[in-house]
Amino acid sequence: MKNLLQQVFRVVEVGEVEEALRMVREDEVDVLVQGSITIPKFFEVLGKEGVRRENLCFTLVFEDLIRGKLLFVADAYIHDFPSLEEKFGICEEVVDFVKLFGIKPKVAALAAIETVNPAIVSTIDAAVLSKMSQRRQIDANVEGPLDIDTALSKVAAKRKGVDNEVSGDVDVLLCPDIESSFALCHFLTQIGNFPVAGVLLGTEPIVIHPRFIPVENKAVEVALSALRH
Amino acid sequence: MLKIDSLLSVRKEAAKIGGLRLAVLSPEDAEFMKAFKEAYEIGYITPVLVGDKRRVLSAAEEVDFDVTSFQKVFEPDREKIVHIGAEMLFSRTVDVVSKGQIPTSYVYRAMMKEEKERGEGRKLAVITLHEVKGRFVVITDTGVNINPDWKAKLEVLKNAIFLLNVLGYDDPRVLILSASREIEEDVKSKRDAESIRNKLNAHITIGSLIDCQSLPDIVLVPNLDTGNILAKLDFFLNVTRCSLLLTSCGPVTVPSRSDDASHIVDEVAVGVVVAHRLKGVEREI
Repeated sequence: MKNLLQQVFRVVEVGEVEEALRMVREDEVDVLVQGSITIPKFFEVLGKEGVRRENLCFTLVFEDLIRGKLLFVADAYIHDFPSLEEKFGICEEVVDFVKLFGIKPKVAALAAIETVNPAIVSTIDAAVLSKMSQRRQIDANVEGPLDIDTALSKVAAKRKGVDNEVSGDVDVLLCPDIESSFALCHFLTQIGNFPVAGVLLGTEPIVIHPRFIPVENKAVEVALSALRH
Repeated sequence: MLKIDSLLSVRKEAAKIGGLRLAVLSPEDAEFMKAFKEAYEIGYITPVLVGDKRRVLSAAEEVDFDVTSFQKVFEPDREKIVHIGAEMLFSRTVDVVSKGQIPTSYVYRAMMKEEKERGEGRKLAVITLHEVKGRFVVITDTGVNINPDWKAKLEVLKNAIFLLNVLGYDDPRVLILSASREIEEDVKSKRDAESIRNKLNAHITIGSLIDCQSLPDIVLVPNLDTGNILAKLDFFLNVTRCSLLLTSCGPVTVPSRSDDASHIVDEVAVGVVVAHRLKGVEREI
């Protein structure tokens, strides 16, 4: 088997993640794929090597079977309850990534409601991100707060009096926290059967294996990481 | 008791019950009025119209709905409208209340006040029934509690289990959502879920949909953002949504301001069935 592999690929025996990370950093390889090491252990090593978790963002790319376009959801794995500053970072990472597809991203900063309520933090954060985009601090059209219906439907946005360019043509859903993004993504895959693949942003091209991503989509994930190269 | 587990079974039962009294708060938009007209014509309800005189009458005229024979309470002030509605429900003048073109938060506030003063003092929460693949999946709380602690969530869950018992489910299967995951296993939602599981004798799974063998009957969400996003998945997927607030004196249906008429009719039908079953009205169906 090993011989066969060596005929097709160059096999380098690397004992440590540190060494593999060095290879990707020094451009000896293009993409690093997590192996049999567990995710917590993997991130522990990455952390020691200077990969800072607060700068990371895991974005899911869905094939939206109903609207026939790609839909990006962030952050879907790394942050629990990102601060406004972290959300800004997540937003920038995703926007840069989506541009690689030749898309000028339309971003919905999601919240429970489409108006600002000081008691609901997500509405304030979304409003600020939206304002930052208006002031060109983010190079994309970020609209928020939007609830999921006004993000997805132009008609809903009109009836609620928040008509804008993002509603109904959204590319990126920026989720308020991990609970909402995790739940949303699982519903899309489990009930909607939307195909999904993930990409880790904010660091070198690294593919990780959260258990909810089907193994058969790993090739797509490598391709997504390679896009960033 | 017949198990009500789909919109088809809701529609059948609602039509047989026939003519429950439903107060509609601010039917001031043609889409809403069209829905109540249809619900009346099918025979689900006898409407009581509460709202601004000019707007209500003009919406009725717009959809060609003759409202002369119905009880009407004309009141321009929206805060007062919701209080009139709450009063009617808790005095049992009506069986169901339905929200029209009025901010949801006003409705919640009025109902909570009334529940505290005149009801059993229940923790109110919005229960959303999604029809997924021909059967209901209930999601709660999708509208009231922003960041409930585990005790509040326990009350919310009990309320949902009670609703499903009323609808004929013996032992509903519950998923308590938690974003506990490889990289971060110890999240608050998981600790809360464990506390709830310890207090309840029910079929409970903690985690996400992939942890369930089959679709759960009830999904308890950790916070409002999550609940609201999941509640409106009908904008994404092929599911139908009906939301209601369950008070101790009857249901309040809460259509979203962006729902279309046929959707609102189904939400009314759910309200009718729930109200009827809650009352345990001895009527042959």
